[in-house]
Formats: sequence, structure tokens, C-alpha cells
Amino acid sequence: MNGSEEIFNLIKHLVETNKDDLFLNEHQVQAYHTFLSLGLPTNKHEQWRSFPLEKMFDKEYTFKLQAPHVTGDPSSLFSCQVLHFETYLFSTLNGEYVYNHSPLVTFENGMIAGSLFEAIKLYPNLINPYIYQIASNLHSSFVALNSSLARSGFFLYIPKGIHVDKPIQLINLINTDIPSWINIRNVIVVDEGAEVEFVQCDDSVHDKNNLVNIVNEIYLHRDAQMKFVKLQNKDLETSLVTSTFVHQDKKASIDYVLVTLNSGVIRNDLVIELNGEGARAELDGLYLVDKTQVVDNHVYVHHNVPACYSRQNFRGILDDEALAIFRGHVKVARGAQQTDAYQSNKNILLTPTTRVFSEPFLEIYADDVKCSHGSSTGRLDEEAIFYLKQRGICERDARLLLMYAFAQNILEHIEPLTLKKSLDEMVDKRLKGELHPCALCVLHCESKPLEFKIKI
Amino acid sequence: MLEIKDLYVSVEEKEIIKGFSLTVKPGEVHAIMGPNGTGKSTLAYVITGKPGYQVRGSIVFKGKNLLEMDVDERAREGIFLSFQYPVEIPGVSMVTFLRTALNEKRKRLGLPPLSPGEFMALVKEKKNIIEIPDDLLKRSVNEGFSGGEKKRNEIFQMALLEPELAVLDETDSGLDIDALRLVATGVSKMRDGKRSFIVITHYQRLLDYITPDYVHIMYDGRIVKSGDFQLALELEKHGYAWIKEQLIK
Repeated sequence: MNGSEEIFNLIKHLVETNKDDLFLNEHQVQAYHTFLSLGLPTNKHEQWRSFPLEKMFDKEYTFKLQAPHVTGDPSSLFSCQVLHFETYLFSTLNGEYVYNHSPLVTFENGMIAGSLFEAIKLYPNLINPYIYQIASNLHSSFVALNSSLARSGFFLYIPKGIHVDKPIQLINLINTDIPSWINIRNVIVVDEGAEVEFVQCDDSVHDKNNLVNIVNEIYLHRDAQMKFVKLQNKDLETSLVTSTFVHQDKKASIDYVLVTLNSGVIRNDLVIELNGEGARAELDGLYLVDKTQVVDNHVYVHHNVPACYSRQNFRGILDDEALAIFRGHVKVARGAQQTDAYQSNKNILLTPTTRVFSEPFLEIYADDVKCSHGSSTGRLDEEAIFYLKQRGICERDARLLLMYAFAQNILEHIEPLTLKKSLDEMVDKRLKGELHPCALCVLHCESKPLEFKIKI
Repeated sequence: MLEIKDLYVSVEEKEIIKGFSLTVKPGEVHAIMGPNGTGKSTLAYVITGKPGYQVRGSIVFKGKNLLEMDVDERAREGIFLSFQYPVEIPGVSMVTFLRTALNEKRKRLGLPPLSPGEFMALVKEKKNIIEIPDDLLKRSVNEGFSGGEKKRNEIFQMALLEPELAVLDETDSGLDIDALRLVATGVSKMRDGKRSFIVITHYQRLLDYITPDYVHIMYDGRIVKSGDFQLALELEKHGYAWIKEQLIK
């Protein structure tokens, strides 16, 4: 029996023995059945063909079926002395939502932010049209399992026309000795004409054998605008699976920048549904991986209606024995004329022992469209290195300059500027080999151990 | 200053330079002329240390064995190459590039790095040698520069880095007459009686502005004829066929 079967049976056993009070609603039951029918992925699945699943499954995990809230001040959890990056800060610790006074906060401008499951209780009419509706359980068994078993997460609602004055930051921090499989669910709704900057950080501190399975459901109403920066800085032994689903109405716009600075094993799925004319998605990704790190990005953009715009630009630098997979999929539906879609994936391999699988893919059922894609994988430009060295710049600095420039192509899309600057610094450190997971992040220079009271 | 002796260079078993010798003293300007494919650019690359060549013979610069030094060490020793085809480096801004290069040099001289203000003041000063548009400095290195801008940028870098030996590899190619005059005037302003130049060119027209002390004609991997500026004029009149005829005789 392999690890995948063992975990599958463990989940089944846990659910069967706790069935009576486990599920909160019919959606969770349905999702569980979908999970059972899909099973955990194997390398025979097209979507997981090149992925080293054994790194994720040949491990032992404990499952927490009830996630209590943790009381504490999120900002004291992460101390930051270097950066003045002001945000509305929210966090989960080991998959548990952290709050000080109130699990769910309603702001003066009508914005609601806080614990997802508190929101389900308090605002069912607001949340029900979105939760379990945007993410598709059939997309993968990780999504189905998350729909079924996630008992904590973050909810954000931005009312019509509101422009949120500072970025909203959600930190998912793992800091535990117990090897755990953690499911976190986040739902974000940006109502008509509203604007928000959202920063999601997936970090880990000295964790071992953890698997974090995050599902983001995002709905952007007509004319809504979202800037979404996702940072990942994980330990070598950890696994992270994220699935982000975005539905966009007419003229809704998203600028998404994913930055992976360290990974254990990471799989990111991003599914964009362009459902209203004039919707726009600018999707950028940067991954800097070394040692035996694995990063797998799957991006699906569905042009379901005419006159939408999408750009995918993913870049990576790989060292040692790292593995990167990129699968970009653009589907232009019948009748989705005047679609403008572009995909690009570029990789720099610093050693011959790294591996890249790059598959940009276009599926087009309309005739009046502008679609293109490109992919390139190679070494640093030796001619450019010679040019820089001829001006007296040493080999190491010449290579760093080129790598930094390659990364800037993605980083330049990051807003606000304060965040971009700190990310520049992190990338610079990362390229110099000075950044380690948990050493420095946008918000915490180092994580302080904190005493937490568990609310029963 | 520079002494090249019995230089043999090949790339992938193909011999390109076949017994080349040249001595350059401080302050001298040597022009190397010759038809395409005769090994002129290879010579420039071997002096500056580009990898990929099998080299026999010796190159000594200021008493040091150049062939044992890496590209950047040679550059910091004071050797500069004005590239025939300057490389575009997307994402690396001119300012970052120039400051890094300049500060490397200052480090070697035991000087502190320049502040951004001091750097910009120096840039302004060097514009007296060759004018480059301000926006060029804000752009990525050579990216989207016109042919003329690229060559001007090379000379500007030379002015900033103040090398002891400058090798100009077909700096005149692809320039119209006005750009040629600008570039050549820049180079002339850099002549100070101490700095040496090796000027590689097909044509005499660049030499009208930078009068060389010596003219060497390179053919099939070696110098076949040396003389003064008169030789360049003769070559211009008779063409390279004249050299071939003389060789056969």
C-alpha cells in the first residue's frame, strides 16, 4: 500500500467514525462524496503527470476535524521592524483563525472581514451565493476535500463602490511540531465598482511534514478591481496545495502576482472565469527554487464571453535539483470573439540537474481572436555575462544582476510600492542565498513564540 | 604596455589567428585593418578574455600575464572593449550597470563607492566627452537602442571607466557620417598621451578623425604589413585585393 492509499483510507476512517456531527451542511456532504469518487491523485492523472506526489503522500499526517479559534493579536504574532508596510492584518495559525476580540469585524465603510465560519453563521444570505459555488469540487480531490473538511478560514466582503484605503493582508502561518494536514477556506467578494489590494502570505516556521490545502473563492462583481499578491516562503519538508477560483463579471479586473521564494512541494492552481464582457486578468508568477524544491503552477483562463483580456506571465529561476512545472491553459468559448489572450513561461536553469516541464496551451472555439503563447527555458545569457564582466563586474555580481533583472519583469507589477520594495529586497536576498524560510518576510522578521488560549 | 607574441587562436579546432605579434606602448594608437573573417574581432575577444577560444602564445599587459586572468580581472586592470555588437540586457538599468562597474573599479583603487549624487555629477562631466541623451540612462542596457546610440553608449562607458587600453572593435560600423564624427571626437578627447588604443576597422574614414601612430594590415590571422597612417590611405586607394597581390608576389 502506498502513502496515497493510506492517507485516503485514514480520511475515510476519520469521516466514517465522526460522521454524525462532522458535516455542517449538505455541501460538505456532497463534497465528501466527490472526494471519494475522485480519490487522491496519482501520476496517471493528466494534471499530476510530472508531479512528485510521493513527496507529499509518503508521509504521516494527523487531521484536525474541528478547528477551534485561537485568541491572540495577529500583529503580535508577527513582529516587523524592517518594513513599514501598513495593512489590515488577519491570520490563521496552523489552520486556526486568530483573533483578539471579535472573530468578525464590520468596518465603518461596510467592509466585513474575519472568520469565515462565523460569517456563515451571521450572514448566510450574504455568503451562501458564493461559498462552495465558485470553486469546483470536480477540479481536484484537494478542492473536494477542502470543501468537505475545512472548518476555518477568512471571509472578506467589500461593499459596492468602496475603495479600501490600505491593503488587506492574510497570513497563513504554520508553526507546529505535529505533522498535520490542514484545510483552509477563504472567500472574498468584491462588490460592484469596489477596489481592494489583497496580500496572502503562506509561510511556515520549522514545520515538518505539514500539508496545507488552501482554497480561495473570489467573486469580482461588475467593475470591481482587485490586486492580489500571493507570497510563498516555505520550508523544504512542507507541502502546500492552493486552489484559487476567480469569477469576474463585466469589466471586473484582477492583477495577480504570485511570488514563490522557497518551497517544499508547492502546487498552485489558478482558475479564472471571465464571465462578463471587458473583464481583465493580468496574471504574473515568479518562482525561485533550489535544493530539491518543487513548484507546480497550473493556470486556467476561461474566456466565456467576448472582448475579455488575459495575460499570463510566469518566470522561474531554478538551481540545484529543483523542479518546476508550468501548465497554462487558455480556453476561448464558442462566440467569445475579440478575445485577447497571451501566455508566456520563461525559465532559467542554473545547473543541468534542474528540471522544467512547461506547457502553455490554447484551446480556441472562436475565429476573431488574438491569442498567442511562448515558452523558453535556458541558461543565463553568456554573452551578457561577458559584457558585464568586461566592464569589471565580477562573475557572481554579473549573474546576480541578470537574475534580478529577469525577476524584475514580474516584480514590477506589484503594488503598492512599499510592498514592491520589500519584495525586491527579499528577492535580492533570496538570489544571494541569504533568505531562508522564516528568516524574514514582509511582515515578520522573526516569529515570536506566543502563548495562545484555545477557546473551547 | 601590451605585448602580444606568437599568438595562435582556434575555435573548435579551426585556427583563426596564426602567429600574431604586436607591441603597444603607452599613449600609442594602433589601427588594425583587414577584410572580413581575418581574425580581427577574435583578437579583441582574446585580449579581453572571452571564453571559448584555445589560445597559444603570450599576451602580457603591464608586465602581467593576461592569459591567466579572468575577463573581469583584465577589465579592472584597465582593459576596455568597445563592442562591435553591444549586448542588450533587458531589466538591468544603465544607471545600475554603470554604477556597479564604476564602483568595482573604485574598490580596486581603494576608493569608496560613489553616492548616487556623486555618480550623476560624474555622468554629467563625462557628457563633455560624448553626449548621450538622459533617457538612455534610465533604460535597460542597450535595449531598444539604435545602432548609433549603442556605439555612443560604448564610448560613454569608456569615458566613465577611463581604461588604460581601449580596444575599439569596428566602432564605426553602422554609423552615419554625423554619428561617426561624434564617436570619433569622443575617442580623440580620450587621448592623453598615456592611454593606448587598438582601433579595429575596415575603413579609413574613422582614422581620419583618430589619426593612428601605426597601421597594421591583418590578413588570414596575422599582420602582413605595418606602416603609418599613409598605409591606411594606400589601402583605401587600392583595396584589399592589392594586399593579396603583394602577398602572392
